[in-house]
Amino acid sequence: MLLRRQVSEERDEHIDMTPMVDVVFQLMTFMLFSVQMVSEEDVKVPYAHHGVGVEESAATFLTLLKPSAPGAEPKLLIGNGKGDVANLDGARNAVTEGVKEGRRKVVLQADGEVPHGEVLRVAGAVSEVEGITLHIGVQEADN
Amino acid sequence: MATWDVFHTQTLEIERSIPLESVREALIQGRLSEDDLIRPAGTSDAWVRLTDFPPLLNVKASPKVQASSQSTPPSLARERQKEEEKGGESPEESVVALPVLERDDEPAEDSFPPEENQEESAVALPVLEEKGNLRDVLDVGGPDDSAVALPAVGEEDEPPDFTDWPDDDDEDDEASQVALPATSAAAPPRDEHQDWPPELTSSGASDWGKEEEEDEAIAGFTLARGSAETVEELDLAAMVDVAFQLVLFFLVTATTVLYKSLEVPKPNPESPASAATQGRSRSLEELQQDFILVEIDPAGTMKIDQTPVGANMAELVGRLRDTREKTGRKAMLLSADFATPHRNAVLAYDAANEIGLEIAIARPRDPALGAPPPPPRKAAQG
Repeated sequence: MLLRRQVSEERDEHIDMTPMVDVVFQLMTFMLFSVQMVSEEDVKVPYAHHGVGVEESAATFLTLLKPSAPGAEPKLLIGNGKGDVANLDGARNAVTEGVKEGRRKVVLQADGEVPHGEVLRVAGAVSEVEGITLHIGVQEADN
Repeated sequence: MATWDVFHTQTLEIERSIPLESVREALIQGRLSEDDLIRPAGTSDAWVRLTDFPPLLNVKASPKVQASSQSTPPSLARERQKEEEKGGESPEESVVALPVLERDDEPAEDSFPPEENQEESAVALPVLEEKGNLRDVLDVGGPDDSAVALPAVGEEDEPPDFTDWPDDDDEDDEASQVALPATSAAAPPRDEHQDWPPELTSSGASDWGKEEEEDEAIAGFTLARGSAETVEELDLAAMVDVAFQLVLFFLVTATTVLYKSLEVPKPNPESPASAATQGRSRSLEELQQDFILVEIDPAGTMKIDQTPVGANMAELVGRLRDTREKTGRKAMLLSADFATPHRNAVLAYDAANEIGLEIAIARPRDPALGAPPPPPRKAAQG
């Protein structure tokens, strides 16, 4: 009895590239979304082992960039890592608007190099808005 | 012109409607092997090996035999050679010597009794038609029955399967009917001038018997893909790929990005100076009765209840746990300097969360606002 494989081995010599192309597209898609998420991290927040997750759509984000020079004031941005530069009043108004839209959480993304007093100053300013909960942005610790 | 289907046993492929001459040439050139199978085109007859296919046997016969008869089967040729070696009769006589129903005046002496005549042979025709099997006929003893004449081709309703055999001479039609005794040999009886009746081709009465069955078994037992006429199944691989792409797209887009954060109590909006002025500040000794005091200086040095501790997570957690067990206090008051880096404060928050301590933050005085008032050093917000 002759089996099919015995007579067709010499015919199907080319390699099917379709699965390989599929995997490549999968990886490209994954990398595309991964890079997009990483690119939003313009501020290096401190590491922490414990923390809670806050949805971006459910919170008002404020960003405190580290001072450009020792002794200089840190830059306050309305947004997550990028946005308009604002002062304490602007941050308070942004939080107020967020509360009106249902975002009662305020995440303060402060760089680890920012003076602790500056963080509390911004936190104290936005705490004047009623009904909010204050969160300090952190990132996952390595170990 | 009749054509033939050829089955390549090596490649398991079928070539259809091939003229006999093309088959013969392919066999000579080696493009067909002896094990390849053949059958009339468009029929469901059993496959026959090319080596057993009478019209092609002359291809492999020796030149000497071909000279005498181009379509003589190998068995017949061998028999002739033996007779030639005996030095008895001529090749022509050998052909005649076979129990073919030669009606001439030269009966086969070594096959037929001397008293046999041609008339008796012709009478035996109905016997063959009734039994339909040459072997049955041949088993019948007696000199009269040993010579069987086959019915004339022209009397048959259906043309035999091998009517396209080479037929270059019709003058000996009657005399070239089947050589019956030769059917008991390995090769089928055949003659170039002979037409096979249906009884021989369809009923398997010829010598091919077992070989045909084997060929059918081989042809029916192959695992080869069907011919090109079979409809290929629809390839769903591309569709599955697209589906997975869509699933991945919706999975990624529907996933909400979560940002890790530490929930901390809201600091008192009032400045420490204003709180002290309004008499709502508490002294350090009063606060230490309720809180585990954690102090951080601008350089990042930490103290727990005014005792230095290493600024790392493990040591800080250990000291806080010991202090809580000894004093029973379940809240931490963080009193960090205004200029200390924010990451040091986060380290203290994280350590308190590790062991489940409540957190209170003492708001430091802004150095730009001047020195703090002496008695209540810091204001606390629980």
